[in-house]
Amino acid sequence: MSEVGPELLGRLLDEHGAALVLYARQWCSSAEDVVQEALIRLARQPRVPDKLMPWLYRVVRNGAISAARGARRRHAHETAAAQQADAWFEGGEEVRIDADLAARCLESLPMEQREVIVARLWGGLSFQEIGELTETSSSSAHRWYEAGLRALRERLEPSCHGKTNLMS
Amino acid sequence: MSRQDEPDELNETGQNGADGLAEESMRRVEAELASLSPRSVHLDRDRLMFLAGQASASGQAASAHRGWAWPAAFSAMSALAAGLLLTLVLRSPREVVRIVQVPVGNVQVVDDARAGSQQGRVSPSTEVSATERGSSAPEIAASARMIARGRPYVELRDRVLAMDLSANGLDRWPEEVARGEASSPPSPAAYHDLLESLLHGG
Repeated sequence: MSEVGPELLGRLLDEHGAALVLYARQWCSSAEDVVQEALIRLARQPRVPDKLMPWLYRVVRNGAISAARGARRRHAHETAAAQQADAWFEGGEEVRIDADLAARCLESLPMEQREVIVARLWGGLSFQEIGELTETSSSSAHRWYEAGLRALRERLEPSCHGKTNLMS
Repeated sequence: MSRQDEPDELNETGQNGADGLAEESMRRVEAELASLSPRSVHLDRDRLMFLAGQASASGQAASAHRGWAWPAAFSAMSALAAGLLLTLVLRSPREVVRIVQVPVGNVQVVDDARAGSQQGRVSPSTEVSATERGSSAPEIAASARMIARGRPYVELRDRVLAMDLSANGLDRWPEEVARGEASSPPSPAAYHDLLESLLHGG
């Protein structure tokens, strides 16, 4: 087991920083600060944790929930979240879906489904790891994932087809 | 296959087909969502590295401090607790009998007084010092030791007569009488004369 060095932190920031920030945005508006704190906390560890990515997602989750509680105390969470909702994804040539609409649809999902979808699609975690992260079973995580995708399909398909038609 | 089973089979086929379409549609939505890239992070990398280095140094110092401090404190407290427990268990419940030895400071004085009497008379300064100290118990103890050593009766009597026993209700023996008796043993006639003089108020 190696120590946490600047190379590892830089690689994590480059490869997983955006997904971690997106994951933290499910709870709070100060997602980048939460991710930065998580990376600093990782640097404080004497050894790299056994399951690095689940550990990092757990730290980000706890930090985001804690930040959301603080934001709720300041009565600014909803406003800030609404302002940040359109900044979740980046557009591009290969994108076959409306990013802003996807962000809004995703935000309308229940928290459990949204968390599982983000952790699975953009975080790359397995259902087993998501289950441990959310303190539930892997089957429950899979069930939430399927339910969330089903709800997203109902809301996105017309626009998806429209976007696909426009792009094709 | 009977005709009655045909609707069920058709329904199952239709259901499977619908499920398959729904599954395919869900996988398509999943792929389309996965094609989205999360917005890139706008973190100050240099600041992050600086803070991470700071945290790493403090974390290593804290872990090194924790490495020996807590085990040492735990060991010390455990040893102390074990010692106290052992003391509590092994402490004797019996009553403690203390033998207090009082130092006899007047032995030399008594010896000096005896030496004075052997020279002819008891020195007044020695008598005063013996009475001033007011400790008749050491003198009695010295007398007891003399008895134990087999000293002669006359010498012991002189010592007792030299004591100031007024506090005990006894008058002091006249010095010249004591001295005369010490020089010559009393005769039955002298005792008789003395008794008569006392009875007749002489």
